[in-house]
Amino acid sequence: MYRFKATLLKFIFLLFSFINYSQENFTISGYVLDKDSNESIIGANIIIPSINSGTITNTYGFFSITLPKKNYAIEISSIGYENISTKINLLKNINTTFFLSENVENLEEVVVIKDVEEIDITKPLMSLNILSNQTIKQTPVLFGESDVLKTIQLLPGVSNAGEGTGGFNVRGGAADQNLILFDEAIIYSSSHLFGLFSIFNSDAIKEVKLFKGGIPSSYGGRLSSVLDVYQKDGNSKKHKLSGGIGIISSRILGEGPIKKNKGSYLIATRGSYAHLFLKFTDIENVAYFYDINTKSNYKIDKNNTLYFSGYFGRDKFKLSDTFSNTYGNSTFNLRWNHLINEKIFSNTSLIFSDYYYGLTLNFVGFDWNSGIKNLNIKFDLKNYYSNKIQFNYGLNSIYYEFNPGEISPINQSGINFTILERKFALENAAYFDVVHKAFPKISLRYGFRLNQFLRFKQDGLNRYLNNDPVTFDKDLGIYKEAKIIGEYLNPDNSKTIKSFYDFEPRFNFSYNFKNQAIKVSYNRLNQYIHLISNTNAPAPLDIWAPSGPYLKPQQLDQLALGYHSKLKNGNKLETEVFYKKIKNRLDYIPGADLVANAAVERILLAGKSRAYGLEFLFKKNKGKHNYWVAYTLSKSELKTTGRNIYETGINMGNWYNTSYDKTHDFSFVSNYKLNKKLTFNINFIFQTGQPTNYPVGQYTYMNLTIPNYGERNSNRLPNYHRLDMSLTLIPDKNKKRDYKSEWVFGFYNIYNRDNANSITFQQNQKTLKNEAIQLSIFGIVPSISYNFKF
Amino acid sequence: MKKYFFYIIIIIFYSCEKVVNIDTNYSDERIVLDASIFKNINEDFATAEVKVSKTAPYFDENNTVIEEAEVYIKTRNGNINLKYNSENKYYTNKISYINYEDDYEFFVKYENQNYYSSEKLIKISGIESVVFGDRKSLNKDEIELLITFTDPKEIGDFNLWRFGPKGKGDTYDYLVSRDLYTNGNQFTFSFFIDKTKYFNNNEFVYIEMTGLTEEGFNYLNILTAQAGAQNGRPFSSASSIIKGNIINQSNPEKFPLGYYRVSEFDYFRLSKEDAPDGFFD
Repeated sequence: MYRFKATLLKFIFLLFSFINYSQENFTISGYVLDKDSNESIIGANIIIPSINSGTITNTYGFFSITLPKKNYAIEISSIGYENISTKINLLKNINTTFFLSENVENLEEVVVIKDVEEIDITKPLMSLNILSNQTIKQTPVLFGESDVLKTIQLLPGVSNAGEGTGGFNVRGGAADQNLILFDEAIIYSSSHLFGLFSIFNSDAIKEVKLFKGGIPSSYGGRLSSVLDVYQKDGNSKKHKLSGGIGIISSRILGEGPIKKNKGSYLIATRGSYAHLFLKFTDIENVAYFYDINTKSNYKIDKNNTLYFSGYFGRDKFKLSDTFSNTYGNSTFNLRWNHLINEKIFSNTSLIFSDYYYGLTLNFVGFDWNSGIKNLNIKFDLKNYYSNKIQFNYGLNSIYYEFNPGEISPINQSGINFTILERKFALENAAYFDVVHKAFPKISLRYGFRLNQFLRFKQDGLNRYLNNDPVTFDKDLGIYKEAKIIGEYLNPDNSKTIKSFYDFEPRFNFSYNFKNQAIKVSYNRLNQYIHLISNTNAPAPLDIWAPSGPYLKPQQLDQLALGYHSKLKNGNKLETEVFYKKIKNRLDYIPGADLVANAAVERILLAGKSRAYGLEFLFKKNKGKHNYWVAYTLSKSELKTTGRNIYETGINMGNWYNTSYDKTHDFSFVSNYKLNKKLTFNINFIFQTGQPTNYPVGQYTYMNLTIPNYGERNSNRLPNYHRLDMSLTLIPDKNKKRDYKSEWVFGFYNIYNRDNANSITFQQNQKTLKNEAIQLSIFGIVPSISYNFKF
Repeated sequence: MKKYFFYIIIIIFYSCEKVVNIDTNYSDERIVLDASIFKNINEDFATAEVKVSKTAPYFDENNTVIEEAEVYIKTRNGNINLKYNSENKYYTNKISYINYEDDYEFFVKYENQNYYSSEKLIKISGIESVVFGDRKSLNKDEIELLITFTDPKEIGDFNLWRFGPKGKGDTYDYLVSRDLYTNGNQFTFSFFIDKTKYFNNNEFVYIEMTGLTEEGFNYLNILTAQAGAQNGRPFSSASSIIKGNIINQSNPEKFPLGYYRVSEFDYFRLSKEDAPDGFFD
């Protein structure tokens, strides 16, 4: 490892020696903003054609580029906006703001959809998809509301974890391996109503980035992907109101200046109708969600801006006096953007994130509360060193409090008050990242992340014989929870009972020629917190557990290779192959009981996992008809071998399919603008059926008919496919007034395919015959919604 | 609890269930041993009952009961042979004296294979009362039963509850419970049963309580879930073969399925007549 580091340093030194210091250089820096609202524009291009150089704005709309003293013509562009050109005489450092106005759609000409999605082909980044608010809004979805999570599942390498669940899987990774950030706050549960809606209100969202590989070192803590969601800042010029009324939910968003051109606020709220489902049953029941998004910013002076964002959401279910259930996220984020000088941009964030789960079971007589909280302090610097080199570096510290569950009796029920001990941990990281245009045709991005994970002392941490929380019964051939022999005692009595240190190299390479690029990336990532869930899909009751004396961090290495090409007519083709392997992936002993388990280490074994595949994306972005075609061929497997010669391991120690292994995953997304009034959207999805088990026999025990199962996940559910359509109608009257409106009519699963969510095998209680029963969740679902803006 | 999540899914989604045709391959044929020694909490003697059968293709309806096995229990007073009863298809015999200290070893010999297990008698506390409750389930045919018992501090960590007709009926409902959060307390819990299943042809429903070891609890917890008796479908864990506590001494790889239990039992007979007026309307 040391040798590697030394070589790396030498390499960096060599690269930097190419930089020429002989000329006198000045810096032009500033912001690119929307002319109507002062909303900062992410990823806008600042291009200097004469020297074939340029830069893009960061996530706060800031840019900085350093060039030799000279006159320059500069072009500023961001698709969806009118380009502007200007001349600059660079005799001193210049600080400026560029305003772009939105493209007024010229109807006779071709219509261009907003194209921040287009990653400049020369960038040393791959396996990255960017979606604008507009793309998300144009994808037809369930119940008439556009949705971030449903849209990303149409991208190559991303598949859904099943209808009626909130999760998604990236490149054969588990659903808990996705780092979901909402204005930098970590989100632990990303959906409402068991996946019906995502927690992201698409009206309030500016942009979504999904990293599937080649993840820059500023991100860490999850293995498979980073979903980075940014909220809008709010309009600092005038007050605006927009919203939508649908059949299941409605939403409204207000924004405006706090002080004109200085500060703005945004507040958005959504809710579903509480008694919507009442008609399905006689019993009094409630099932609804609501959420509130807020954001505000204030520009103190030209070098300092403050941002505040907050989110609060809850899902609520109640079934007469039998059962009630509440859960949701809340986040709070305070950020300070500070320009140290024209080349160095800094951001300091204080972020709080909380996931709460509460359950009241009147018929058993108890209240259950659990959750996870974290406080995160971040300090990030971007140094626009020259027009060839940018350094990003920073520090990040996350303090976690895990509450695995607290049980309290209600109505003198005979339940004992019980606390599953809270767990505490601290995750610290330092990162360094270089974006380097090393040669005219070669761009690099390289860096590393250093992690420290400290698990703190707690009561009720068990000790086991031979330090082994899982034992194997040789006679019966089964894994068992080990007997607890005492409390874990800390040898040196310090606060930390276990610490982990990891070095994560990250590397991206791009070789560009004639509008084509060959890209290579490698990254190592560690995950210190684990979702304890033996279900195929994330459920709200799932509990997170930190690494510690018994659970080791999961570690991933991913290598990806890509060919990206920009065709003559502006169409794009991206092909990538990836291979990843994971150490210490948790696997569950057969029959593990996770509900209210105070010592989850007793049911877990460390296995390994691997995934590999081919991804293909063709994208047509220009013209009346825009579409993309995505296809993924992949394999995802797990293997847990015995720890000694006597143990069988899981599934006899053989590789087996993960429950999210989808061999083929195809999607087609199309947007056709018929005329100025009508837009027609279609998407089609095909996925190989999810792995499952069919019985290899049956037997009778205690007069119950028991299916007998063979190897894990050796069968598959039938293939999943569906077609969705929607039609957006814009009334003519919109042109002449400030009040803008539209109608969206949609059909989800238009040919009413019964997609299997699960197939269960059981005896029919009336006929006493064995049956296979398929559960399907959504048939054809029509929707209508009315959206407005003024 | 799992059941309720399932209902929520049903309520909020337009879900539908249908019977589908699936081809399943038959493999991994094994011997199945359904073996128990049960002692009524108020009596001194116990009854041993063992059913020996074989696995069968999943959609077969053929009987696979084995009648030619040699089955016996080894006690401190010698071996007790179990005789095959062709009416109920069990090997049975009475054990006239049983205590809590001894190991009761269980042997089956069939086709040159020796199957073996050993357990001690589990003490239970007994049922105090069962009454009809008035909570409603989403399924209109389901009615609530409220079962009260006192969980002793020292014993009775794990229990199996059986709801249904007396004797060997075709269908029962089962519930496994543990006293993780109720240890040492009097406790009332509710359980929903289908009234059409139990009260259309019968005047009574029998609620039977037996004790389990921790291993037995784990075994039955998975078994009842995989049999569909817990309705936990959307959140149930990956299905796998369920190994019990009986080994094959001749060939460990060909281990039998099923379980051997030795426990006290108590039961409560709840009459249809005990329901409040109008309860079954």
